[in-house]
Amino acid sequence: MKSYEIMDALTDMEDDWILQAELSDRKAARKPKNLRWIGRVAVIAAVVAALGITAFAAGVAIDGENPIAAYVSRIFGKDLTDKQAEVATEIGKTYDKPMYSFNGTTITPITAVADDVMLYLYVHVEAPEGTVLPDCAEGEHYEIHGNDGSYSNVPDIVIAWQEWDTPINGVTVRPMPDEDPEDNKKDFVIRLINDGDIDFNDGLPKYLRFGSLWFHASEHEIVPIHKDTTGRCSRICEGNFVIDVNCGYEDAVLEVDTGEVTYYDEEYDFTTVIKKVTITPLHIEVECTRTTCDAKYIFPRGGPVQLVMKDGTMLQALDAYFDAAAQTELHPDSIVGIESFGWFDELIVLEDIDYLVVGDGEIFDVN
Amino acid sequence: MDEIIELLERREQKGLALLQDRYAPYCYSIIYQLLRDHEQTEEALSDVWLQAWNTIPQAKPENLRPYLAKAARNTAIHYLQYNSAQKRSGMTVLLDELEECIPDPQWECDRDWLKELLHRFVGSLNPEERQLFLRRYWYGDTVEELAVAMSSSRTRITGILFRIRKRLKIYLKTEGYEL
Repeated sequence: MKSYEIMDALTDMEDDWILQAELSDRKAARKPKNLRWIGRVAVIAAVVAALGITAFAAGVAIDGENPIAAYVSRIFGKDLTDKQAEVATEIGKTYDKPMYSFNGTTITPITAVADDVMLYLYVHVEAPEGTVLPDCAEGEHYEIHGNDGSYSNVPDIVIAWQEWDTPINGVTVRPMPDEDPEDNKKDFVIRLINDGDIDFNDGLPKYLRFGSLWFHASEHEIVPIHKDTTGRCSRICEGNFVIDVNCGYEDAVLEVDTGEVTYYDEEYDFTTVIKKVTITPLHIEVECTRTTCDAKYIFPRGGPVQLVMKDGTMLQALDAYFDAAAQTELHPDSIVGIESFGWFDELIVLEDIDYLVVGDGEIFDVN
Repeated sequence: MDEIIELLERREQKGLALLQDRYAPYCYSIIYQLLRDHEQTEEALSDVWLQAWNTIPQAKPENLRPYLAKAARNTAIHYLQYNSAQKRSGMTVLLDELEECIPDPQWECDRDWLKELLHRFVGSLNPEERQLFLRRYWYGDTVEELAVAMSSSRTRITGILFRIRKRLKIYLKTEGYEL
């Protein structure tokens, strides 16, 4: 008797048992919908509007010894230090699956880098011959959309074992400058920010599914891009693209318990109590509550959190995002224990953070 | 009857396309969990669609999901058996664990009787044990994946699985020799 035979004989189990094993505990493992989701969506919307596209000509050798670092360097538009390259390798992966083709368009995933909340996916797109994949001028952008049947026509994440797919609202598609902006080939960075139901880093099989790639020739208006008939939007390709974004990367998290640090917002006249700051190489979260505010529907914000690195460099991820988020209305009952969220425009080496400046100037030593 | 089954019964390609559209990620994940190799998973997945095309019209499964899950798992196991290289991958530990359940190296058992024994044994487990056992040995989840999915520690999951395997060994030893 060999173990294969036991494996084989196990196949014919009751359907119910198989489905229960597949579904029940994974449902239980889902994070509940909570305020964190609301906070993220609000901030994401603000940041998408605030960030422009950084032109960057990568001076790295992609075929070198560390392809993950090379592509991560392109994603952030900056050369990486040795330590950043090391971090990139720890939290990133390259793809061994060559490409996904549909209706004449081929999408080749190359590199992904992720933490539990954010995922950057570097892909190469080759549209059918004759299609132009232009660079973006000011006000222009690309979007990916879900399949027609998907929720709100946004891309979704399919997790095997689950009966449902999770729509991903925080998606941006950034084209990388290339040598020939008039041809049918271009690299893109797809950035996903989850809505609280997905952990990109839990190692569970998961797939990004989308149905089309669009080029939008002017600022977004109220008409959904796929219903636009004015010619401002053009669909680059359509199909059923399912890209493996299964990530089992190394966790790298720095948590700083800030006790009850306060931040007074002069503009909106309210005070926030900041309880915890969590930093990963890609993003920052600030757990806070608002205590007083005349304007009842203002989104609480944790104020600027400054990262002071050991070489004296100061990084500040949250400030700009919170300015915009503060204009978001939320019911006062909904603002207890919220987590504010922002991301960095470079890879953070956690061990190189010297201290944080939180709230109204409180300093927290980190390393 | 399910629209897909009806289409497959009429031998319409659209049925296969719909089947793939709806179940490809699901079947892919089941196979990949066992093979842990994308290229082989793609190949095995093609075999599953062929099987589905050939067998569903006759089998008329009530529920396509478990039917395809079993087909995917069967196909993956065949790939494992015929590709010894795979044994060097993530499957080594899993197969070694199952090896522990075999009462002794000379122990032999008729396949149908073994299926019956395993069915009874798994039916005797409590719901949590059954989930863990099937997730580990039916779906091929790693202990780490189980710990995450069950919001539990690796040590606890390892302990429960160890005790289940020990009981299975005793069960097979006592029941298996009654043939």
